[in-house]
Amino acid sequence: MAAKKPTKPANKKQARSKPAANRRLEQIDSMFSTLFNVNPIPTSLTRMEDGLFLDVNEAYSRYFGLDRTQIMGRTSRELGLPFQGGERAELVTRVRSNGVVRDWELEITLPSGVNRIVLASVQSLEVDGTDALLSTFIDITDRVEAEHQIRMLAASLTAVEQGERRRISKILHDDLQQRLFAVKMQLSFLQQAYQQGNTEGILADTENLENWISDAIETTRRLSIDLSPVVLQGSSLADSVRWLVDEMRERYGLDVMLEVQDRLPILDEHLRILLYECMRELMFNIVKHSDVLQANVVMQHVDGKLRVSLSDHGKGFDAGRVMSDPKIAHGLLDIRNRLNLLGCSMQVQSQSGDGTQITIDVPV
Amino acid sequence: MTSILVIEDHPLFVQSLVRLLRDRGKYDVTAVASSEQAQDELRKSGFDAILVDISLPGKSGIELVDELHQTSPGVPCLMVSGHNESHFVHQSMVAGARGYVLKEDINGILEGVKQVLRGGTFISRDLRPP
Repeated sequence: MAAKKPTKPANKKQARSKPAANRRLEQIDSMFSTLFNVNPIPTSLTRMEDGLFLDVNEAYSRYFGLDRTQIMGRTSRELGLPFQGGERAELVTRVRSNGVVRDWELEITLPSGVNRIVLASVQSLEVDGTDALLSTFIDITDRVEAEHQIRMLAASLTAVEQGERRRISKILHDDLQQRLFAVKMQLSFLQQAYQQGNTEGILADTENLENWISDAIETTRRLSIDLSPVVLQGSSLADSVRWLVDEMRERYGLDVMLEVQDRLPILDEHLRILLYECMRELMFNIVKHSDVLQANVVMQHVDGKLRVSLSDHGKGFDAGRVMSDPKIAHGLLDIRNRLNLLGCSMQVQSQSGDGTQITIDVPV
Repeated sequence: MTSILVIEDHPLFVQSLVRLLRDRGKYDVTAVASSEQAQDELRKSGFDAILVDISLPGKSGIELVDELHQTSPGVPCLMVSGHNESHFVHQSMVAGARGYVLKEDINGILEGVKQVLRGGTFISRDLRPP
């Protein structure tokens, strides 16, 4: 039997009397048994014919949450363990054909009812004249979920980028380009006024032109700042946020009370830019959704982390419901995902009619 | 006097366009900023031609032209656009526009209005096939 414990010969005389080949076989059997039992990967030995358990290691018992005595002498079908039904038939066919199956991704349900994803590898072998299957199960649920999250995040980042491109394109087309068309037309009027010697017309059209070109310059300046705020280049996050607070006040009338603790930790540039962008979006959310134009921002060093809190006393929302619905909380979830990717966390506390507090923790 | 309805939402551009049509075309010009306002205006009074901005808030200029082509088939529409891609021209003409003129093409705008009023078609020179 495969998983027998190593045994000692009864005495030296008896050992010497055994043929060398038998001793060698015992050693191999013992070694296999030890390897089988100490292997941290859940491993089972089953009869190929009907899935009857011939042996399982400790890791298997632990992983499937069943005592060895509950498993031995019963079949996988009786216990609801892999492999069963069509899956088992497919496995037997593949093993008979190739002798081995490697890294077969399976969704299984543990006896506790929990669903997991495993990579199963199965080797056929003969045990005491019986065809058997040596199966190992590597749990890859966390890896699969992490990969899924990364794919979701990549899709989300692409969507954010596309949204930003559309926004820029809209500014260029709907505003700047229209101003330039108007300027061109105005130049045409100016030329006409000049040809007609209409001094009054020339003065009026020149003044219009000057104003419109100033507006166009301002539009390009705003766009340039939106794309890459100069203040982010080389300054601390606190300085950037002070500048952002002024911008939000000037552009949207949002009055932000900013409290910054002295000697905040210095962040890497990519983290500083991400935090700045997230804070800008969150402040803009207050302007758009809270029904108030007042907010508080606190930046402090807490428990080895940089903590940034943004709060308002606006109309709030049911945070539990909203944050669990990607259609409604799309923007907030995007921000949270982007922060998570760089090891930060974001907590949203809000209730309808009771304001909103968003806390971002940044490891430093 | 020939009456023109202009549907354009950018305040600066519409100001210049109206002046161009009034001063140089000698047209009676009414300007509105959206499809909805255009429909209201059309219910109140008749126009000889309609200039439609392709990028309107809400319903697009192409959708509006398509609608106007059904509701006011006798009134020619001239699309006024900042887009110089040929598929916009094609879509506009399929929707029922009688012409497509670029916003920077000042003489083209005046020529386009003249042509569609005469029952012809007009496309800005830069957009014509070589």
